[in-house]
Amino acid sequence: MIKTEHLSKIFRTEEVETKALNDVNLHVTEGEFVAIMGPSGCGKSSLLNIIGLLDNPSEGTYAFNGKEVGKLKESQRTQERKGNVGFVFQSFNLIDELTVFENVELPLIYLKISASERKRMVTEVLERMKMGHRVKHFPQQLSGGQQQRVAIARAVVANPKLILADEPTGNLDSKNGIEVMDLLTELNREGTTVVMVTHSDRDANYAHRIINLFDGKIVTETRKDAELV
Amino acid sequence: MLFKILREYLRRITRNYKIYAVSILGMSIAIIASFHIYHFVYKELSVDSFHTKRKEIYRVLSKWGNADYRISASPNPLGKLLKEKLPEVQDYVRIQKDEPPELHFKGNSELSKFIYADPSFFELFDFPMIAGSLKQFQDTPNGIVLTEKKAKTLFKNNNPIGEILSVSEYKNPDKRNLVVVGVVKDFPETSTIQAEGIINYSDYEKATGLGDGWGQWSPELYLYIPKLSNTKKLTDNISEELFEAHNSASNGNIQKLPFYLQRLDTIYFSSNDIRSEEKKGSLQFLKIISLVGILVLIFGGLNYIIMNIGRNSSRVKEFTTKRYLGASKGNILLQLISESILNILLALTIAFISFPWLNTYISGLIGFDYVLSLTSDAFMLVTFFGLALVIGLIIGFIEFLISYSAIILIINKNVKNTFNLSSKYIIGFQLVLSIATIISVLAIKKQVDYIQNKDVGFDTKNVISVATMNFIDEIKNLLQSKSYVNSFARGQNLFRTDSRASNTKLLELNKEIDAVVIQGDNNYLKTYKIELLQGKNLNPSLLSNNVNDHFDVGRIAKLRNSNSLVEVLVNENFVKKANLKNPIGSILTNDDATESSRKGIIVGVFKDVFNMPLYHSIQPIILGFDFNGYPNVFQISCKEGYKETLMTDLKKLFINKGIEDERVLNKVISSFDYEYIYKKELQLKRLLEAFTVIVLFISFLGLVAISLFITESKTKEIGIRKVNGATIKEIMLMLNKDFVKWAIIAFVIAVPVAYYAMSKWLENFAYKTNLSWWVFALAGMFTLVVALIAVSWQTYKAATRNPVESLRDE
Repeated sequence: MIKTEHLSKIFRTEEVETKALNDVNLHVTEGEFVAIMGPSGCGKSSLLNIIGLLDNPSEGTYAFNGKEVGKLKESQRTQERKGNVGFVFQSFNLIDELTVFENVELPLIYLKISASERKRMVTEVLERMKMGHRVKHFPQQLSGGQQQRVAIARAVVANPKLILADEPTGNLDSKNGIEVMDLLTELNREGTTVVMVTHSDRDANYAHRIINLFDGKIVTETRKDAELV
Repeated sequence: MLFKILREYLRRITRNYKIYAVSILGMSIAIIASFHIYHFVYKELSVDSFHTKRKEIYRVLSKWGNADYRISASPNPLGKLLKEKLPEVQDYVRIQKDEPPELHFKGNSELSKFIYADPSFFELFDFPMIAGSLKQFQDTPNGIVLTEKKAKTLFKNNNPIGEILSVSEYKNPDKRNLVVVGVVKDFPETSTIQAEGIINYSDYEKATGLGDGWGQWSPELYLYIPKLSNTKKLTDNISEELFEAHNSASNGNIQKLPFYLQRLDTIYFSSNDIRSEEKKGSLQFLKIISLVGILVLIFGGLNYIIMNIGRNSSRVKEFTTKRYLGASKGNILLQLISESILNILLALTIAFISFPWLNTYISGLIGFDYVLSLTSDAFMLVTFFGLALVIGLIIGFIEFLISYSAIILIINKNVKNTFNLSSKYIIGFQLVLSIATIISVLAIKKQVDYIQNKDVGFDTKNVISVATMNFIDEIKNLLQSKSYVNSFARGQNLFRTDSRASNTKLLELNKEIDAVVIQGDNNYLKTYKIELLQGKNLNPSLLSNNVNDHFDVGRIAKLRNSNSLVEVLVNENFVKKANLKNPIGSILTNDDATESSRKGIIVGVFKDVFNMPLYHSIQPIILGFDFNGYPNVFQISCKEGYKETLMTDLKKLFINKGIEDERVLNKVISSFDYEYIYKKELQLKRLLEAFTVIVLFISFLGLVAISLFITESKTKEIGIRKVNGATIKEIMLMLNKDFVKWAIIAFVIAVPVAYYAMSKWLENFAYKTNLSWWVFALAGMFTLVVALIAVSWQTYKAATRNPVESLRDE
């Protein structure tokens, strides 16, 4: 599903040139649950952004679902991303001015799905996330764990094949964190591919495979049954 | 503390110079515009206010017949009579402004800018003499007092007292000598009386032969009445005294005329209905321009506030940190006010530096030529400076009020709301004003176009008029020899800016109507290309062509008393108003204020023409020759494109006769001039056009800034939406939707306001264009497009930004 070869990302400002990713070769097959770990600034988020079609690599190739997407324009990337990729962030990134329902509805609007169909899909996914009783609430009226459940509902409402999670438990206490991880695992079991960036060893243990990044390079890859590749 | 604020301010301004430049630029434009307007209004309001007796001196005005204008001339001996007969009148001065003599000096001749006045001129008005004495002026019947500037031009640095000047009337080549007896300070530009020299009035009487005759209305008369209790009673007395004096002195018979007293300090603004060429102010224009000045200032100020609040919301960290470190509420207030005053000072500096360049342009735009002097306008400058500081203070305080609660106390959440709410109101106000001014400009333009394109019913393009002076035959010969002349007529100008209708009796029908009498001969209709609808033209063989007949008083008196009838033509409107079923053959007579005219018989009816500015409706007109006086003017129609040639040829003729002065020639030879007739409207149009540009420009800056702050505050939302699949188009739509909504609300508010104002303005005109829907639609669309361009500039940037940047976890 995801295949990168010699992927590099360079950030340039007037004074500094930073190599965020350096010759990254990554292969994720459909149905996998992969965790990416590493210290701050090692390039985790940059990698996730490229995988999630939010950004283009500076060098190298990236095939998503067998299609080369590394050199697509912004508008084309948007088209590829729509309905295929769902995002979950550390800080939830819900829109304060929209209700729970409206937040979850967002990707469906951009997919031009009819209002009645949207209502059905949103209600269904919120029930599943146990947030059905909170549809009219605004994000600031919810606890952190509830907000992240809404964010996950939003990420999966369009039934994407891939969920990208950027430190999904970073802002949560352990009880809520575990709940969120259980949710992601459940989604993975149902066939959704999950790629997650995390600092937490506990969270990483939910994954089939753990990739360690350091200074923009993959340094180790560990399978869950502890064999080194 | 202040030094620290200043240092911080300078650092901030140099670091964020782009955003500061934008906000200060908007404010500077507002301050520059309002400063020029303030300068204008200040000068206009101080016209004639330098006279200490300004509330005790009155100009005498009167009205003749049914004229819709008043005249400022009065009979030569009236002042003396009133001083003797009426105890309230303590003194008087006669001034003759309109007949300056020609000055001959060192071989050059020029039309002077001298006026004639009684010596009491220097006692009643505040024109201080700096050399010579009033006594000398009183004692010298041919004395002249020169202004400082004129004395210097003529005599350089030599003492001018006792020097001799040679002058003559332009109609009369005989030269006479004047003795310089004094020097007066130059007349201020804010004086309605303007001159370069004052000649003793006795000299005028001597030169023109004007004496104690009551029929000679020539000078302006100013009365000194320190205690005026009952104006009505006094003007009635004046009317009565004149009536008695006039009728006991001559056989002539005049009606009692209404008189008016015009106080010196009100002359400038209350003289629009007076036939004179002096400087006149328009209170209406002053009101409009003051409103423009105030609106620009409010506009610029609000714009500036909104930019600063937007900026302050991104300064949250600075203010909160300062609060944590012990800054008091007062400290923050002081900082905001100091910054705001510093910004205003910067804007003021820009205004002053740019003044000399802009002044010429703006003077041309609103039609005034006041000079800014650092010394004599010091008070004005200080007051404006003070005003600007007060504005700075207010702005700083408003900023504090709006931002303090939001930024400093509750910090986060409400900043956005307060900002959004106040910015919405301000943007709404700006859009309302933009739309309303554009509607006004379009409506005024439409009316001006209507005026210029309206078929007035006579030839305005190829007809000129020329006063005959003493050269009737010479002019006639010239016109007959030129092949480009179509036709010419002896007759008065058809177009007039005011009307003097007089009572006309239709003798056999026992009816009376008010009609304007225009003198013209049998070629008059042809020359003006006016259609004769009914009857026949005037019979040329019945018209007296003998020039001297005009001056033959005995002949006129004889004709008046005889039963012979003069042929006249009337217009359609006359027939309609008099309700004549069969106008041809009707006999009429016309009463003027001083003399009754001869009896006339209607021989033809001509088509109505719009011979007055379109403020007035069509009036009944009687056209005749020898019916009520004789015209000393030729109306000449030339072939298309020969107007300039004709004027040049006529000028040559006058120059050969010794009349060289351009100012005289321009009075003698004239043609129809829209620009002159409708100069008020054109001036208003120019002013509002400039205002629209300023308003749009400031709104544009404001919109750019506000959209910048709003999109900045929505960065995260934009990122989330993009991550969830929103395209650039969808994001732009979302961001611009709000602005479009405001524009629509503004439109709904602006339309009735502008509609009302413009309907009121159009009421000035008897003939007017209607306010079409497209005027409103165009104004709305234009504002919307400008607003969208301003906003999209920022929103496009925000929409195309990589969402990754905005969503990075803090």
